[in-house]
Amino acid sequence: MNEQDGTPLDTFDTQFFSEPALVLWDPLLTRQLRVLLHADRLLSLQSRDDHRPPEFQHYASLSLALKLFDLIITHTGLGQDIEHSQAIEELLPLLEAMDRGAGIEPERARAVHMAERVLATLYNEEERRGPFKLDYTTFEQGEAVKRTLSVRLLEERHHVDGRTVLRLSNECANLLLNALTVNLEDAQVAAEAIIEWQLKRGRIQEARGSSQWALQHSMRLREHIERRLLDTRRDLHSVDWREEMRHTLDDALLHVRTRCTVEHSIVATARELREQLEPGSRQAYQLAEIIELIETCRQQHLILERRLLEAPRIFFEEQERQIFTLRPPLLFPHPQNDLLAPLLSLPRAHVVQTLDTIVSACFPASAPGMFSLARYLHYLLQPRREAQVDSVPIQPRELIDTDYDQTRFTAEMVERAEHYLAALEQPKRLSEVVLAAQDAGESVAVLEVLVFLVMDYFDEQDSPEPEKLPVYVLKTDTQQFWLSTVAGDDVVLYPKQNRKEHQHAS
Amino acid sequence: MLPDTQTLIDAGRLIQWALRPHARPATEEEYQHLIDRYRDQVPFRECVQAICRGLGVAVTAAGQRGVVLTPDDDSVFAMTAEYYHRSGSAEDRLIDGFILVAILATFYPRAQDLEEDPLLVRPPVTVEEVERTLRMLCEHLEEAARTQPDPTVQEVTAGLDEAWRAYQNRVATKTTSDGRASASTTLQMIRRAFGTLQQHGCVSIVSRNGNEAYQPTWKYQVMTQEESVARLASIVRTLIATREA
Repeated sequence: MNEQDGTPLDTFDTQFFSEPALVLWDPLLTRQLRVLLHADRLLSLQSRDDHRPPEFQHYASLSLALKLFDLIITHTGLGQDIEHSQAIEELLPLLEAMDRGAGIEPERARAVHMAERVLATLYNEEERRGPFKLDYTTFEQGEAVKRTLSVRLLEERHHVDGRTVLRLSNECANLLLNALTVNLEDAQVAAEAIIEWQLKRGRIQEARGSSQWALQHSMRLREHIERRLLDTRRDLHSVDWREEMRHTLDDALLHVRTRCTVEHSIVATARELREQLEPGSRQAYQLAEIIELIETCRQQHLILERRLLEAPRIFFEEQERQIFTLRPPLLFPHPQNDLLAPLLSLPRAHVVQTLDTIVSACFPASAPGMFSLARYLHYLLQPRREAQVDSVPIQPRELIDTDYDQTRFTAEMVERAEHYLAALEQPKRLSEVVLAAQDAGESVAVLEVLVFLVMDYFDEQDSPEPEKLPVYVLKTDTQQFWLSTVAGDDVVLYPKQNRKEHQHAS
Repeated sequence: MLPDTQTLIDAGRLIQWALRPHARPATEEEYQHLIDRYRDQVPFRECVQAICRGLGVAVTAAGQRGVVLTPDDDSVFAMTAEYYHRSGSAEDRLIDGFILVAILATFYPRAQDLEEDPLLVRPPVTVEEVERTLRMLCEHLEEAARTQPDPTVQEVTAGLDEAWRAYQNRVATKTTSDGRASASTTLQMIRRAFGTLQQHGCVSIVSRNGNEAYQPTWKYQVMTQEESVARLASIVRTLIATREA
């Protein structure tokens, strides 16, 4: 900082450096940089291998990932989409080969575990299948700008037939198919031109591979358009209909109409060439495959054309439904903190009153059940279900008599106190007995035991054997006594031999 | 102008297909044809929606993977707590309700998860993970309640004690005299909840690393993101407002 006026010193001559920065950084470089970053997550698989446990270090994760991608690309959209478990099985031969190459006995469990780990890494299970976040620096108007790129590699998607299938993200598929800086439509034009050239020069085998590539591009384009239309149905504001969709639809419609003409030409050329080949020959068979592939491309384009033609109608309908209708803003609550925790903390009776609504909110509409005699009979005739022993068995307890409590008064103390009561020959007040024991030098504990025994003997009905009590305790008046350690009602203690006389008297 | 009879019949057929938990347009030609007609023809769509309104259901989504119908609270097509667990006590039904919400919260642990495309499959969850979700919450609430006095006998009788105590007092697992897992334990109740959801086409069973787990279907994900969360949030807001009043 300038100490006089606080203005920052110019460490660099920005005027000298700004113009070259604007000229040197082409926006195309930003696109290439983003493409390279998509490869970063793939290449990082290889560095992870060194940090695995020793028994897994001989496996090459990157090779397994590429094989997986190849499987997915090969099967996508052709009625044989691959599932998670199927992908694991397809990788096992590679893993077994790696085991043999490292001189290790192949083991299925270890191989399956490694395949699961590779898939988990590609899913980004560490972030619960969220996208990978990658930072990069680009230059805009002479200034360095740091941006974050979100990348997905592998996804599971719901298939129309109810299965869950693996799909590559658009970015990953384009990367693998060498689409570094090429526009999707241009790549397809190039592929189809290649097919036509190869057919004219008899390069049939290469034409077959290029045809497959062209079909993949066609399907990607159709999915892209359909997804934008679906996004429009869900939320009109998420799609830019002013510029992006208008140009996309115009370009796509022109492309589709042009491609149909080109593909018709390719098929015509291929059929003409097939006429010249020997029927049943290997070349004729391959040419037939190419024709079928191109026909499939044309079908895809026809489906896409239909979607493109209905796109404006969808836009107007959704505009009327979404824009011209007042709707509250959609803010999602946190399911655990804003729904479950408050429900648990509310009074039980209040929650019970809303149980029907809670349960109905968690299920779709379902037809109410009706009693069916046939189903009831089937249920009754079902075999008894096996016991599911999935809990810890409770061992029967062995009860034993124990006494771990330390008594306050020892047996000797109790015996000493009982001696004073057993030695009574004449009726005496309790205070006299306690004083006699105190004068004899008995401890405070013995005096306390003496008093407790008298309290215990007070009600004969509490004793299981009242005839065995050494004394008979009776409260004759309200006289009380206070000594240094004990105090209370000064009851009269009658010796055992006097009990019967007293009972007769009372 | 009233729609013709065939249109009404087709609308009824589409609703009937939508009520079947495991029907797929890809395998049922009529279903696929009716969905295409629903998406492409506005009069037919309006007819279907009107009939659904009358039946107390709403069309939440309609696409290549089927039609998702969600019921109103008083609809005959709505699942009730009593129908869900016929032989259970009031406390059992209360715990069943918590379990269903906990399953949703375990599938969607963060608010931003609800913004994702429902075509993206959510990771599978196990019975033990749902149990852990509920136990942890109950332990936190119990910890917070330690500074408060215990509920009175009158409060417990009137049902005014906190609802989490009902779940906390229920054991996770135990065996009966014949060696079976007791149906009144929380793990078994969670397992039954998943079984019922599977019957209604909401989850599918998968195997991950040798363990049995449950993965939500497209139908469940659409229903949750479009309807369930909003309705549950509305219930919670109403209950909180009632308590504060």
